[in-house]
Amino acid sequence: MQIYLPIAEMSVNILVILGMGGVVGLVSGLFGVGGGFLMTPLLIFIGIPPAVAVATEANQIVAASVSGVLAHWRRGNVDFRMGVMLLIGGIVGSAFGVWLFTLLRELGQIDLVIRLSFVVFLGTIGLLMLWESTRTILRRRQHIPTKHHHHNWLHGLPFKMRFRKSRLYISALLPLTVGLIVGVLSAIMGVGGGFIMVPAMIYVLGMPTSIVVGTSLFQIIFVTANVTVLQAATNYTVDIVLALLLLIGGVVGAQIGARFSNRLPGEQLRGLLALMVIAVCIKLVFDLIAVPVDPYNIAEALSL
Amino acid sequence: MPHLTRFSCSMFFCLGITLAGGTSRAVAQGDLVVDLSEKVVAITTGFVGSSLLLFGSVEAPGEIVVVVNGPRTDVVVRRKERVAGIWMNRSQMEFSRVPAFYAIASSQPLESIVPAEQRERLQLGANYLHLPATDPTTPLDEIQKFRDALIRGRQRQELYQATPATVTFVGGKLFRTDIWFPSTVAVGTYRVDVYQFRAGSVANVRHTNVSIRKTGAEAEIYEFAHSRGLAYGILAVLIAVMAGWLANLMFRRT
Repeated sequence: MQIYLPIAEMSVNILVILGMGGVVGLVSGLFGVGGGFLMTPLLIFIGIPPAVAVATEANQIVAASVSGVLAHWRRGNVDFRMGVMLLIGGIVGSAFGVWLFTLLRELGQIDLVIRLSFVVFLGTIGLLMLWESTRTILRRRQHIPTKHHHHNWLHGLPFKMRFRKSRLYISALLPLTVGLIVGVLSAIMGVGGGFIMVPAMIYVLGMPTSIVVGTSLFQIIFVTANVTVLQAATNYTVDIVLALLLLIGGVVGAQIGARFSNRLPGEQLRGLLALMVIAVCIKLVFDLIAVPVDPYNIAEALSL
Repeated sequence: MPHLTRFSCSMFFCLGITLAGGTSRAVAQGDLVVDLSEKVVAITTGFVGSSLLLFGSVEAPGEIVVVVNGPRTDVVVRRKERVAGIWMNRSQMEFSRVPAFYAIASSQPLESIVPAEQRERLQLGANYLHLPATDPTTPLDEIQKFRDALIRGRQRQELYQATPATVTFVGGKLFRTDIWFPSTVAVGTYRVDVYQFRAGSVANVRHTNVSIRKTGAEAEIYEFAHSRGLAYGILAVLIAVMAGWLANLMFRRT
């Protein structure tokens, strides 16, 4: 069953798109990541022009995140106070990120920068998470008690705020900085930033895993909504037909994922996400070093 | 007033004679009449590419060559090279006015119908397309490599096609061929040239156009997205928020 996409200007199989939306939605609801780091490469892989893939994916993440946040909110798993702090940082960071993106494009090599930053971040985060979650699982089996969170210099910073939901009393500078860095990266890499945000919230802020997922999704809604509007207004690359197909699959998947995430223990959840992150990273590395089908590629000249 | 009417009447009469004369002369010379099964290819929701029938007739024997040229745009071709194990774009070349689509079909292999110098002059075959590099200082062999890559890439997407011996004669005078447009085809006006060759030179030539455009919901969405981008973006976000909320509502009830 084929459908023609008006903005991407090509036809795709409806069932393939619905299936992709469902699988990525499941991941999104399960781990509290938007899923962009999986979906964007998949869309490009089936032949959607990269600019359309990035912009349309942002639109789809909005829907998946709204659906996910509502499910987590009902279970009381969203720390809105923390979310707003992250968001303030995120908006400032993404504005800077868009400026940096334009600069890199003018210098050429934006594609390479995007791919390399994916490899570096996915690789680092994936390995760290895998190591940490494996250690926790092993310790639990050996009945070694784990400390809730470690105290270090980060907890000595000023402007302390109480985050009751997260059971934390930490400096407001911490979530603001995390939001800022993630904002920059998400603008450059064209993703919601959940796959960076979730580990940062767990390891830097020391939030409980159950709260992290809902709070991350809450923040992602606003970042991706902002990206969607900006892309639509400046590059005309948001394909609403493609986005609708993706989000039909995506919202259903996200709901199922959110249910499962309450049943699975935190460290196993983190271990699973780590494996997925590493798999995407390996694929990206392979694409960078494998001999291309044709070393030449064709693009429309940008009319300036 | 009646005088004026009579005058304009006679004007039209004269014009009519001239037009009719022109037409009958073409038929009398005989030569080549062509038409397409459709003048407009509509891109609708179910568009998976489209095939057009081109048909025509000839009075005298000769071989037929059909060329379809799509709308022209400027194109950048980039070349990847291995740097420290990683493939990255190292050099690029810009070509101006490159046809988005180019198909050539003929009743016999092109080499046996048309001499090389004619093929070059009439740009018959993708290799003879005039594709000037924007920067004229580049060495010629380098330009050639990028040109070949451009044609190769377009051929992979079926946007450049060469199909010899697909123009078939029915009886001695009628001929037909199918023109295939893949689903990635660009919108715009396509020029169709039909040549009749006799003894290696052009005996007749006819031109016609086919228009490829989006219709219905496809056209409206495209138009909306390009004319009012900000409103389109806000609407897209609202639809996404609604969809997320609706899905949540449905799942809560079950």
